[in-house]
Amino acid sequence: MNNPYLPIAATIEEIIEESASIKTFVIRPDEEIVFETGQFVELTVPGVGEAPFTPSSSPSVSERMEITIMEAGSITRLLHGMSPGAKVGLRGPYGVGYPLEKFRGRPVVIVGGGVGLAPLRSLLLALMEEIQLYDTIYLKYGAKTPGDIIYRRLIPEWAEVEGLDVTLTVDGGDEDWKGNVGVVTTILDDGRIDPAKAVAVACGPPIMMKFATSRLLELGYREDEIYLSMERNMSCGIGKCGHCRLGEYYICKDGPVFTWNKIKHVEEPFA
Amino acid sequence: MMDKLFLKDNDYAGLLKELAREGIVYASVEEEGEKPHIRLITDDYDGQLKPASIRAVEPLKALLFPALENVGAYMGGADPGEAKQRAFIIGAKSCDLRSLEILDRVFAGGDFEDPFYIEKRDRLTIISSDCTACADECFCGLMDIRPYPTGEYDMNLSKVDGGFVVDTGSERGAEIVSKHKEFFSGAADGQVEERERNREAISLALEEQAEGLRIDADLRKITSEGFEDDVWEEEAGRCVECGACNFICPTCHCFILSDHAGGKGYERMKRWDACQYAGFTRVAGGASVLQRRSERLRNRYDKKFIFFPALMDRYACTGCGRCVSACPGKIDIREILKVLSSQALARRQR
Repeated sequence: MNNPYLPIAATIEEIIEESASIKTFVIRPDEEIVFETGQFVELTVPGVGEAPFTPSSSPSVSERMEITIMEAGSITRLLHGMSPGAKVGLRGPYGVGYPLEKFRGRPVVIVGGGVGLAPLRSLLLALMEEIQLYDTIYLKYGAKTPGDIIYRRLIPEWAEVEGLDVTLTVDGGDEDWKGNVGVVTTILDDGRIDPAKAVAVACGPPIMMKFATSRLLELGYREDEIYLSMERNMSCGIGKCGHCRLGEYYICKDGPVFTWNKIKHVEEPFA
Repeated sequence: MMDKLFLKDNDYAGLLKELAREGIVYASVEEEGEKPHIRLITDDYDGQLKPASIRAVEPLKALLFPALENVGAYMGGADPGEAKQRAFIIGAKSCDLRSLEILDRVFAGGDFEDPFYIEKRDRLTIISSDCTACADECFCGLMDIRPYPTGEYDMNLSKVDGGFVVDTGSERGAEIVSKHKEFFSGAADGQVEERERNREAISLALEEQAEGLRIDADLRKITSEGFEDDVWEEEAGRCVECGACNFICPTCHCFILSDHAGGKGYERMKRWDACQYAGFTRVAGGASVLQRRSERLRNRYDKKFIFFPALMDRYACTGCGRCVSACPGKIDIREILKVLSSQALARRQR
């Protein structure tokens, strides 16, 4: 019987601290998991339950998966208490990946807020692996404070990549911070980008998604070229359990990424 | 097409007990002064086997999508033993059959299949029957459902004087007839005509009951247009968040997976969940899109009258009225639809 509800066993190989409340888990599943960037998995804490996460590692690596997780609820609290060697479960991948073929030859603007950069890192890695296929890739990332910026060990490398432009901002700086101060919407207006030609991809907390979407629309990005990571409570991941409904869609099956034109009629999509 | 058959009243119990030797038999049974309930019938069952006049209190989904089901073990646990016996349900009504269309779409349709549902569905033979009465809460006509089955059954029984006119609707139904020839004879033309008269009479009774519940417009339209209506807030004020409307509903299919340690490893359970519960859409950190009771009440209607019609051109309400009977707050789906309908009418006249 092909049982869609059960996870395969996996081992946490390494845990990397990204910020006070965010860690990246390097996980090796007993069987390879092949995913497309943008798809998500259900991660099981054995005997307790599972929660959905989008991997933050490259989709071209299937024997190991990295997932960056903020401690926010009961499952993530238990995950944060784990050590390398701990056993977890993985189920998936589910949902629909980013349509990378549609991004080719065009500027790609990646807008991240806080831990929302985690799934975007997977996209970024996928784009970087064939960067010549795209126009410039712009990463525009905002965090609350400099200490909340994740992937601080990786960002300097990304800044060196030809064809990739990185801009960071923080809501509030400290004495060492020399960069932009302000929410992420303040760094979206960029004279180098032609919004009519670009695609924008955003992931972050609901309030940021709401304002980023308005700002992108104001700047002239097309409704069907703004890709938004949507979030709802989720259980089964396969379009049966009814939890993650968003209008006529289930986020687990039709998402988790939607273009704005598809969801703009839904009341309070970012609530 | 096979000629119509006849099953005598006296042979009804005998047929059920014969079937009980072949598999698990559930029958909707109406004991004196009681509402019909689904009972497990064994060949030594000694209760009355009076066929139910209306749908049972229990929704059919309980047989295919149990309230709590072990969906397997992982990382060392033992797999659940599976019952592979055939099963029969006798006395399913037309509204029950419609609910299976919805459940089939959810669990057997889409990109992933639920093997637990499919396996039970495959094992289940459905012997339906015409309604011979209508409960006070019945409003199937509003959902374009007749009070007698029009398809989707293996066998159907229509009560007439002295017995039942029998239709077979599938190979399985025909097999029951060929295997138990002793119970069936040919139906006389008069009996078939009597069945048609009964069907007209019960349809009329339902219509009379629905008088005053004239829903003027497309339910999909009035539900979408009534999104901001005060009715949600007003009605939800009496909701006690018990989830009864969800659990008793034949089409409500929401569930949640929950894990526990079991055997040498872990087990995962699939359990009914209710969108009327405060935690239904709560995410880690505490945020929830359906925070207010009124939003959760509206969600139920949105799902039934907007979501499912878009998905499969069917309302996910069968008009069975179970939620009306079950609600301790006396929230009545018919009243809400009526309010939405009259508001829609008022808007049009403005």
